[in-house]
Amino acid sequence: AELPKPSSLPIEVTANQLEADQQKRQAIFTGDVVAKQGDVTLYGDKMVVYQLDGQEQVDRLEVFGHVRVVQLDRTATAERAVYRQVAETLTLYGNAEVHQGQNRVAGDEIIVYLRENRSLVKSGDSGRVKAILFPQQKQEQQ
Amino acid sequence: MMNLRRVLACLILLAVLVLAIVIWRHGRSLDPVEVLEALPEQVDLSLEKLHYTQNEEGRRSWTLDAERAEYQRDTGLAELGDLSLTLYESGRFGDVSMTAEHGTLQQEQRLVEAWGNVVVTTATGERLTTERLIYDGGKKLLTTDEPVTITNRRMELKGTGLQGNLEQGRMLLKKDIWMLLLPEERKAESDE
Repeated sequence: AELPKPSSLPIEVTANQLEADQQKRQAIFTGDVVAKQGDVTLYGDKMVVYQLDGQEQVDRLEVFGHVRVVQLDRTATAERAVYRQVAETLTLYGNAEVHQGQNRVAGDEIIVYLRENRSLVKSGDSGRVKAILFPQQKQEQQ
Repeated sequence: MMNLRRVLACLILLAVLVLAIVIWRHGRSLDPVEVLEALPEQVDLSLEKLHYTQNEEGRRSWTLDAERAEYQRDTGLAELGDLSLTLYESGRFGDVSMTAEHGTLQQEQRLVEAWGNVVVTTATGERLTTERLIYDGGKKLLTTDEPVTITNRRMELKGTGLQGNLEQGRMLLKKDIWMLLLPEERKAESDE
């Protein structure tokens, strides 16, 4: 069955504190932030929810500090993450890593396509992309 | 002739005597009626259907209505029963109204404190419920230390401890935050 589009699912958020600013169309959650939408869960120290201009709909969630994102068997970690629900992408910045089973990719920036089993890993001028991929067969043996 | 005059005088005397007795007995049977119900000691003025409007810069800023109000001149405090506060043109929220079972008005400081089933609704569809809320007319702030629930047609939000500036559209919820953001607007009860 086709997975529901994230933008059609509710977002549930828990945190220690919230500051909302109607004029800036932002809500800033701080302290043990957990945001869940469908099969994607974001963890971080701080999260800013941006609304689309002139609409109530969420444009994107930006998560800062000890960022961890879990989706089924994929886990991503980074210093900052931007989750765009309409585009259904998660962009990781700063010591970005994605783990899936034993496979692991790391870079300065990783774009994870949430509805596909695909990620795009970029490295800044600081170094090269690193990827450790285990052939499917070897993974099943171990 | 003298006899007739004496008889008449006796009759008149008798009539006056009877009248005096009747008045005296009638007067005794009636306890003096309490002309004014006894007010609690510290209350100077007791009102029903209080209607109070606060104007600022020639413009109506807010209106307070209460079924009952007891005013104490020395503290300037009015204790209210079944109150309704309307804040006009509160930024993006339009007119905002608050109802509660009990409250107080401190006129000088323009401070309204409300408690007991406090419900705040806005012209743009937001609804806040809590047990206690203070409106500071000077700073235009709504504050409470109690748990609050805020809903509109796309969101439900819970937290404890609130500080909100309606005119600037800014709000701080201090702890225990839970929020549910819906992808689409909920149908209003009337639409269903």
